[in-house]
Amino acid sequence: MKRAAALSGLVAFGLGLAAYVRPGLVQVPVERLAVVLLGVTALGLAVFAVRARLQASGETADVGRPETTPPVPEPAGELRAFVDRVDPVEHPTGLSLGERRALRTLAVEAVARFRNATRDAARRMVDEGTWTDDPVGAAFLDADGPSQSATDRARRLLTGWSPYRARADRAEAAIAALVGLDGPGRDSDERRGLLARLRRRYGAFERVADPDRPDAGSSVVQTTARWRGISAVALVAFAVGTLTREPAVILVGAVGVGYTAYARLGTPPRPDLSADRTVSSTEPRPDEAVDVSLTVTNEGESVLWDLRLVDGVPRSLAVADGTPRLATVLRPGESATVEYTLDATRGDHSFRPVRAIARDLPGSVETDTALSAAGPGAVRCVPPLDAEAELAVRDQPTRETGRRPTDIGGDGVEFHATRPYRRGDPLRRVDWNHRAKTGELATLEFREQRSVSVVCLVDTTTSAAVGPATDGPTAVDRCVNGAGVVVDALLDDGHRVGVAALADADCWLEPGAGEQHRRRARELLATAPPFAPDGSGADRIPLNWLDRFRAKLPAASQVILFSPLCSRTVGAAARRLDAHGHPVTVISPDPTDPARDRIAGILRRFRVWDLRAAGVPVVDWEWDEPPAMATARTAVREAPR
Amino acid sequence: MNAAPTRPGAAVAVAAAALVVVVAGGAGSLPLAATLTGFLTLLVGTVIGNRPAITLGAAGLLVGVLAAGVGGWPIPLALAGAVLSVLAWDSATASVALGRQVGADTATARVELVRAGATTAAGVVTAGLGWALYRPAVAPRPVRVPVLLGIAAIALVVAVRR
Repeated sequence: MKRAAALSGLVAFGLGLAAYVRPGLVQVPVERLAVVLLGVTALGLAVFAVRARLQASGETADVGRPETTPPVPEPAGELRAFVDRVDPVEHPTGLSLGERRALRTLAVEAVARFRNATRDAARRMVDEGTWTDDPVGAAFLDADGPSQSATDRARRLLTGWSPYRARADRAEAAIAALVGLDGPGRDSDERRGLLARLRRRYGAFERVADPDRPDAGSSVVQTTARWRGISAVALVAFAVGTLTREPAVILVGAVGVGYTAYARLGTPPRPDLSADRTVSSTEPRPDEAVDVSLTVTNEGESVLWDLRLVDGVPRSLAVADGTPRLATVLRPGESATVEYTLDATRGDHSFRPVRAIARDLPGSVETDTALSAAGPGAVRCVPPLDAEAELAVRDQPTRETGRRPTDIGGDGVEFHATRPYRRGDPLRRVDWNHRAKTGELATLEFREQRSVSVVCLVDTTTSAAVGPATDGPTAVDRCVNGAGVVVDALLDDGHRVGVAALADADCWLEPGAGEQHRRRARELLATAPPFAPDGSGADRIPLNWLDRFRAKLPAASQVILFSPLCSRTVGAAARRLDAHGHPVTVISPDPTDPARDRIAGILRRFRVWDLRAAGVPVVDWEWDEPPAMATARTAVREAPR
Repeated sequence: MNAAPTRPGAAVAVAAAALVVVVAGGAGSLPLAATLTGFLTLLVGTVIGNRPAITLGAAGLLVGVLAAGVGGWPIPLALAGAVLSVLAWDSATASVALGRQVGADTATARVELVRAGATTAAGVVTAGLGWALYRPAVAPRPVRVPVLLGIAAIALVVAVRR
């Protein structure tokens, strides 16, 4: 087919040229019908070309987003499950959870807990609108609230916002205020301009996943879809031109042919590049800024007309400043530099190959190369453990001497009471002041200080691998840091401390004491797979995990659970452990961000409240607070006994 | 990373599209309507970063140019309109793709201007050649010349198309 077309094309060209040079030579009758057929065929071909263009996707190579760590998911609200459990409806209407119904259930549950009301009283308050000061929010949820009109639905569909949604948002804010969640509120689309909203909905958004980098030294040549469909210009113009016999139009078609040829002119570039990377510090402390500078030089002899560079930022590190990307024209011998800053976090991070995508001048062929850069290949960050505050531990002493004051009088250091002298009491314990006043002998008793056996249990399930910022630490990271601080503090106080990971039976360090034990705990927290910064934890807590864990727990030991409480099952496990005689304290970082998802924050507050109501103390740890502050606050709260 | 379309390329595209309206819009109501619609669609597509909209906008511009040519508009203006339409389309799609890959905040002016210059040069050379080959002032040629050349071109395009 192609050869026939080429041949006939050449023949026609020859005839046309002859007719041009010697007008009388060629007497080919240009029949009207033939012309019409030609025009229609051209139009048909043009349609194919246009369709190919519109279907052309991925004109560019997918470079991913190396600036960020794999995106941290938001804490899931699990709203549907909550509403169906708490307030089941006999005949659920449709598949989507009614917004009003969900918010009403949330309001009733919030009022029942935080205003100390029965469910019926709470429902009445919501129906009447007396549960909050905000009139708009109250009106949205009361017995005869508004419903979505057709224009509301249309607006929401097209632009993502509508007045109905605004009122629902107010109701949500009122519930959040009731539950104790402050915050400026949702900062999403409707606060930005219409432009940002439309861009997000209809624009060519970048893919978020970071594909695997090709190995260094690999080179792939591929055609881009840059000029796909340009032949439609030529075909349509020729069709119209032959049908109407207007020379201007036919010449426009010639322009189209010219571009089609231009698109195929290019030859694949053969980039000969060398890359050099410098790093300001290869062993940084956590949160230290690391400056990276990558210089790429064109060692070849041809100009690289369109060179795009993306540095291989380590997968688990995020870019704080600058950008690791560049697009430039590189003449032979010329260099280009990329500079950016990384935020160091715990772990071993190695750089990946540099991605260099070079295109020819028309832009229709590209060569995708992966370069390895000379220079440091990895950045290693091991955080030192340091404790600044004392941790209060619950009442359940073991028999060793430690620094937890108990209510049992006996040998110790802190004064507790006096009792009458008994034969055999050591003389240094006699209360000489009392003898001086009354002439009788009495013995001083001190609060017995006993050591406690504690296991720090860190929640490493996937429900905890969430956070308020897509490029920040996850709750698991915060919990591991907090556990490190607490382990250190408790070991300093002379207690016996162990470490475990929730839902991972293999990760276990028995409670112990001493410097070697401290080192082992520190290593476990820094390097064990469940605690790794991009490690994937278990999806669910296995059924027999609790029994196996209890079997390993020493008889009279406490548990400090570090968990963001983003899943019901974690709270249930804590309650069961507590009920089985191992007092549980929960230290819970708050990974919810009211600006992104208030509902997740509200549900988390419910869980915290329920745990406290069941007798398990929960330390609510603000996301931005360093761990020492949270534990210091606990000590203050629980001191008076 | 700000993945919006890169600014130099977007500016070139919008300017070229506006020029098409100027060049071909005076030919009549259909060319004016078509080029205006094309310009607006391309503008919206470039700002938002939506490629199908850009393609449709450029198609509208071209329809306007063809309508002008059919109505007997001077050949140089029709050719200029065609080259500018292709330039607008090329520059806009390239800036959207570059924004995706490299980000709107990186300095891309050099690459984009080199690219726009090359595209314009290719168009000007082709248009110039075509105009030189068919200048009615030299000597009127029978219309079968361009028709035959048209057949040749279509066939060649079919042969060369992927």
